Amino acid sequence: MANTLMQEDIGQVAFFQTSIIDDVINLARKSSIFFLLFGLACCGIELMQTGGPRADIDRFGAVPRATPRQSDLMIVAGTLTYKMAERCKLLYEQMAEPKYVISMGSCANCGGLFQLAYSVCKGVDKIVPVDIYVPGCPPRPEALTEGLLRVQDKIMRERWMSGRRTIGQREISLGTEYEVKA
Amino acid sequence: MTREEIASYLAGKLGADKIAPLTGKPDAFCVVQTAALLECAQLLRDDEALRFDDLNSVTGIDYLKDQKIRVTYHFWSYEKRHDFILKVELNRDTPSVESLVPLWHSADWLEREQYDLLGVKFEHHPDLRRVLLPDDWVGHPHRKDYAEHGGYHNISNTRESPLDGFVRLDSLKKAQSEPAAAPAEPTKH
Repeated sequence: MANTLMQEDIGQVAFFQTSIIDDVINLARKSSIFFLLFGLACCGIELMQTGGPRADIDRFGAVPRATPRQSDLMIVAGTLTYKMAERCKLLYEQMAEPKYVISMGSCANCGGLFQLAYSVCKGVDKIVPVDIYVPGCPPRPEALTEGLLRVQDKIMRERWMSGRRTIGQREISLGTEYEVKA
Repeated sequence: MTREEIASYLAGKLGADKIAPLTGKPDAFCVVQTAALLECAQLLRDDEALRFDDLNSVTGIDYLKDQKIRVTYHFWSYEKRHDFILKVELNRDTPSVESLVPLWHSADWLEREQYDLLGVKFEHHPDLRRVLLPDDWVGHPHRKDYAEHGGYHNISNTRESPLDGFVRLDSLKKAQSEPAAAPAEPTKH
């Protein structure tokens, strides 16, 4: 990290860059978010578009990963049935901490168009904690990119040296204070 | 062959007591006796003049008023380029009909779907399980008298409205403007 420079009157001088180690860790983490390849319905198509050349979510460091074990972010894209909800919870539990969830689209947010159906789960937050809700039916790739940027903001605010994000902790996100739930 | 020709051909082969005449518009169909379904289907598949080599769909409808479940079969012949529709009427309390899996493999999942959603029991089906809903699901949701019972595996099936506690702006404005409108006086200059 040190740049050296020869100064005539002093001799060899080293320049150091200092920073808070939390910020360095978070900068590294937010720039390589691996998201779980996990499309459920038509939102999955928009998710693919977001990974495509036009929206290109890769320029923010987010690339799809086909295993929950090495993913940081789960994007729940689409209608969640009860049958799938249990599998979704299993996938979430397989992910390593720290992990984040984006609820993408109306169906994942609240059941959306299908919330009166007998087999549809009324929102993914019934089973896993959600960090960011992206509205839309389905959301445009720009909206999902915005959601990813909000996750990055959230990552940058986390403090590692002074304690990790735990259940019951107060957290401020997007200007509103809330409690981290299980 | 047209559907009318197929219907009269079937009636001639099976006997008019086993198959009803062609009815219904625009998709005309024949109601066949439940006991004679397998015989009729065998004829549809193997008869030289009919050669129905494809079972397109098996669907069922619950008629609560008539206390009946009607199962509809759509057949198509790639060889002869003609189609036909059969229906059977089942008792709603114990709906049971012979499976067509021995004749068309496509019947396998189609019949499992009707078992899943309507509870129609297909006799001699090789693997009659639910196909869409979870295995431990209670009830058959496409029955007209189906009632949800509070979520699944402790996942709640209710969601509180985010609009609770909020008031519409226009109704608020209306409530404010109405008492103010009565004592309104003309402005003096």
